[in-house]
Amino acid sequence: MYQYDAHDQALVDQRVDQFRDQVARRLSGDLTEDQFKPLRLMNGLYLQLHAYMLRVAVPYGTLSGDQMRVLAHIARRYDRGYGHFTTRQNIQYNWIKLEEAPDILADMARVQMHAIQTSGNCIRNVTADPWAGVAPDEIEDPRVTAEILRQWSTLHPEFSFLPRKFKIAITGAPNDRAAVKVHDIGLRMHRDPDSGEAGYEVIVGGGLGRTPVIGKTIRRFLPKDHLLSYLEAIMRVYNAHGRRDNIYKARIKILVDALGIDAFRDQVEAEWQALKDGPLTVPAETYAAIRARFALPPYDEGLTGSVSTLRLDEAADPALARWIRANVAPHRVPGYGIVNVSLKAPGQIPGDATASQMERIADLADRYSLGEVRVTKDQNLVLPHVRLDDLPALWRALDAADLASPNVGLVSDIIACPGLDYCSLANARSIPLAQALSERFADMARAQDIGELHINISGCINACAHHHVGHIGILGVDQKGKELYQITLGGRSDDNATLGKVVGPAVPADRAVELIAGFVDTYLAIRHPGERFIDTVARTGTAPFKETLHAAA
Amino acid sequence: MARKLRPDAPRVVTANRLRDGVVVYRTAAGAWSPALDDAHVVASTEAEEGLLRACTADVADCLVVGLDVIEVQIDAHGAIAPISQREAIRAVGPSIALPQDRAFAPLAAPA
Repeated sequence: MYQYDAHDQALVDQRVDQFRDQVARRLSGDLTEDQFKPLRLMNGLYLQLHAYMLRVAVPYGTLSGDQMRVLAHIARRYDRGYGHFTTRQNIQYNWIKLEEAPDILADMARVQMHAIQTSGNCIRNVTADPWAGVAPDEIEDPRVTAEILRQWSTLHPEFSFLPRKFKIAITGAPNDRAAVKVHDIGLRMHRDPDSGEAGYEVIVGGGLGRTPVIGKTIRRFLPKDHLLSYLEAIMRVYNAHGRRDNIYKARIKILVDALGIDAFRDQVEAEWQALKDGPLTVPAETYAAIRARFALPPYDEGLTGSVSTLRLDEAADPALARWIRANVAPHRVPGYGIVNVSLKAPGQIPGDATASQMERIADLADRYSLGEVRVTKDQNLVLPHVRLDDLPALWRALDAADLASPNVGLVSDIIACPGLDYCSLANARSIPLAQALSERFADMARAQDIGELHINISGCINACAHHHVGHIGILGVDQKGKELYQITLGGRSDDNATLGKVVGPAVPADRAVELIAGFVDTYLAIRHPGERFIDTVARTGTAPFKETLHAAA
Repeated sequence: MARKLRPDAPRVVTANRLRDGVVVYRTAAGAWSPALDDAHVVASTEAEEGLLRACTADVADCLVVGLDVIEVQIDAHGAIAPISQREAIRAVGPSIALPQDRAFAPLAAPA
């Protein structure tokens, strides 16, 4: 794992001191709220419905066991005993006191963590494939690039006051597990067909929210050494021409759409010519030095086998077999598996984990996963380096902590934002509907029969739960004081990223549950062998599902 | 800040306590209470403006932040309830059961 150097540590330590002083000046009245608000937001501190909310960065979703223990400590000492893992691989605390926020930042700094640039119109935490470094289909570990981007974008003086927030995602594998097409910039690693060199496809102008857009490829292949100069060129064009007069039209996707991708590319290329081969060129030795900090951990040698060839004793232990089938993915090293830990037990709040659960994950990471944990954009956790012969013991330990739901990627693995239960922007609640749906689909054997199905629920048009790209997307709306839910079908955020299509008018929560159950029944009735829900919707369109809608009316 | 309310609608002033963010309501005695039932209810634009004027010193004195006026209704027993769902949730907390942190038995020693 990456370890801070002296510069990194000094930066976060100084930020703690600065924020402590700013909070003291706010509490004493030396700063007004108007003066203080941008300062607290630069440290991830929002004022939400019930209290302050602190968003903590988990760079590229990677945590050590010790860092996870500090997250648990913060939940217990400063909050109400739990935290919420988000769709951007961060964690949020909902019940923070302003007067204690500097102490929290200080506790985090001791384990190389912070909340810098988790809010505001800057480049946010760079997200990555949660299986980075261990996925068998990976070309190179994308976290090396993500770390270079973190260093480049942290406190970047030119990009600290952009027209709007800016999100970057990266994957090092051809199978996109980072949703790169729905970010302001998405980076997907490829090999140059001629040289075999690894580089990036650069995708720009994607995003969800009020105006959902699938990103467009601005450059098919960018050698790694040019990454920063090319991204700096994109950022400069956006910073110069992105709209600042209308917050709803300020994201880069609006600029790309207004100019057209070809004209936007021309401007970026012109800007790049002035930057290319300059100081932003990443020297090979710098790349190698950072890559060395992501060296794979010391795996046990001489192991064989893969989870895909593991013989599961269904009769002896069907629950363990079901969990392995759903939650354990193949690993690039023989004898190891990637264990996905569901934070979606039936009726649970998606993405929430108690302090004790976080500590249990940290302990299990140390014992079974070489001390490492990942956070996923699907609001789950990952233990990335687990020996296959440890799976039964790990499963039992997870089960004792309510962390062994065998539903990763299935219908009850619901992604939901905090919604109106916590968020000051929300129009409707997300969590109760997620709970109702997960209880409706609590039969895990049936869930596995249904197969891969992503339900995403956002409580407002800002789309923090990525509802536009849910196989079944749900948007909460407030229609004249009534809490209703608009359903979309056919969205996806993978290589074939697509926006879902609205089916029918918005409905109350209980009706939404019935409709979605009907959609699932329709899928089961019309699916072809081996066809996932999203494949069926792609083949048939929404028409058969709309029939369900009318039949249920 | 305050949204347009019906001219004669019952209303109260709410804010968040600066130091800890707790939701509070302005009382008739000029204090701030976390309990909505303690709030001073007024029912005219003029009374609302007077109430807000009285609160501005507390904003300047760093007691509260995010001053707002919300419409409420009062039942036969005198209980105050917000009109909007947002304010109802804000008044009583999330509509869901919050996760309860419970300790687990220590991990068994590795086999």
